[in-house]
Amino acid sequence: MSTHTSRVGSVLTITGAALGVSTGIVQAVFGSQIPEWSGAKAEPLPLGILTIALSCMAATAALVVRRGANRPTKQVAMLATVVVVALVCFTTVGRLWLVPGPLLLLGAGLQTPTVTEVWTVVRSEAIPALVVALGACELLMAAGATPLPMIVGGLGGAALVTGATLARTHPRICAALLLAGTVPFAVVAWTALVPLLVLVLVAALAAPLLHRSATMPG
Amino acid sequence: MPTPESGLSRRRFLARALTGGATIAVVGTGGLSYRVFDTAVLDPHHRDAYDPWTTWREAPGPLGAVAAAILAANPHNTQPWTFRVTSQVIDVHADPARRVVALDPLGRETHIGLGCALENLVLGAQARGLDPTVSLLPDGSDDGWVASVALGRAPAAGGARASDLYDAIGDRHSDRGAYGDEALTAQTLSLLVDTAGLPGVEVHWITERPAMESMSTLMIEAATAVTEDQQQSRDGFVWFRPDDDEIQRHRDGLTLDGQGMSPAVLTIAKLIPASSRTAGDAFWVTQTRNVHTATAKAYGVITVADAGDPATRLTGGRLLQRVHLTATSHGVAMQHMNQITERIDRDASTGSVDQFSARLQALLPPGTQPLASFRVGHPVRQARLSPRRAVDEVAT
Repeated sequence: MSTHTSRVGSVLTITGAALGVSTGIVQAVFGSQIPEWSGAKAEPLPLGILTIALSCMAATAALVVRRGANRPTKQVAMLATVVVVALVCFTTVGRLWLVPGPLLLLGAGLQTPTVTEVWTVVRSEAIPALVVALGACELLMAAGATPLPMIVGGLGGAALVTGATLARTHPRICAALLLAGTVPFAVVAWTALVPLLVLVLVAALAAPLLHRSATMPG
Repeated sequence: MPTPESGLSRRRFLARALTGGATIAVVGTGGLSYRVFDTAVLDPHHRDAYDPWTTWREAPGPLGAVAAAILAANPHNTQPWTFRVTSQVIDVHADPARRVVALDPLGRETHIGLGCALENLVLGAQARGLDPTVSLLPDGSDDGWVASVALGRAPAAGGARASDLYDAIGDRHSDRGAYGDEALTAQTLSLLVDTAGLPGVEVHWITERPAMESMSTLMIEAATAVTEDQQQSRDGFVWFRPDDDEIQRHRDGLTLDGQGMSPAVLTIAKLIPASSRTAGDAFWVTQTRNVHTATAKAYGVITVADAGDPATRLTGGRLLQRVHLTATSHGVAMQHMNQITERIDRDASTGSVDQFSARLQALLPPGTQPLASFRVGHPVRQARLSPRRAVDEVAT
């Protein structure tokens, strides 16, 4: 990948994220008045706010990559964030995402390292990535819950994401966060069954995640 | 004996297999998490479509009475009504676009649902210090203007009258779940029926075992016949709302939450992909056989002299709603079960051989006709809410 290509990708990603923020604002303010464009959502305000937040995440990730993420792991993680945001927002703002979404995907594609580098990262970081994904699952479930499970699930999802990133450097804190991120949500939201599944999967992934921290150099 | 190289390779293979398996499990969990979000498993009743159940007491005056009316029982939760409201009168109209044609070809269920709304409207007006006077079919024809409710001012001595029936409006839901083993006494059943001010309509209770068994058989056969009639099946399925987006968008129709399932079964039903029409039909017939009829403690049938007369249907609807509100206030569960009359009307409208009239008539007093039927019993679990359109969507 040439530097020029990477720069073009960076510009496209940041432009897409900026447009994403704009579409989030449009969805929040005018979403109910332009249903054919905004996806005829029942709750345009929260979805608009969510789109703004996700676009800001994508923008932050794009800026981190632009400034030169010094580790392939970090670079791949940031670009993966951009791709996830680009895909998720197709469901939050309808046709309004037809410009920002492809821009984000194209920009991320132009900045992606070689397949070999990506594969190396995926192999070495698969377990923490899976725990992060489970944290995202918990956040998604919490987003549609009543206040108590919403708060517990929101904090729990954040704890799982944080715990996964701290596994290598702070294994004890990681273990505590995995526990705190799953058990309370499983207790308050057990009727949905899936929180129990998240608990089981995190418990299964905890051993290799923490073992990895003990065997891999920091 | 494995060499160190082959042992290492095996370990690496195992690690990769486990990682691959975990990845598949996490991807599956992602899909299920989306279903939890999409079907509002963790917040089934906390959004706009259910707000009318919590705000119906708040509005004063005629619009407050309409807020009570829109919570009435109605066919397939189509909410087939509109209201024209002034300070002196509320006109009630049928909304022809909301008639489930193949299931209600003669308009019977639409009129009954409008009668149910009318009963709530009267209770809601009385609770707001108004003195409602109901005129059915004010222009003498069946053109959709079904009732006019004049709103006088109640005498100061009487004032606002919030009756037990009015208080039950927000707690009344069709309970499609299993009912408990405890029998309902004849005294309890008689408490549920008050026909005061409702001429020409009665409730006939079916409580004896042979008659109950005959009625159950008719219910199961009629449910099966509805599902085998492609047009009836399709028309009913149109009103099924499979996920929260659909519920919030339409604020009407039938939902998984309203099917009376246990919490665990309900969650599983919401997590799996939305069911097809044929799967939904099969579920309904199975529930009718194994739950609805199997746990019914009595059947009630609203009987009239002429089930084809619109005014009689409206009055019968008022009685049906009154019975349901009374049952609610006494802790008795009730489910409207109209598949038999749906088949009778369907056969009449298509010129087919009537499979059900004579057999149902044999269970009723001579000289009467069935208008609507339902089952009662003791609730096992709390019935869930149904979505409702807001007052400003149905009142002008």
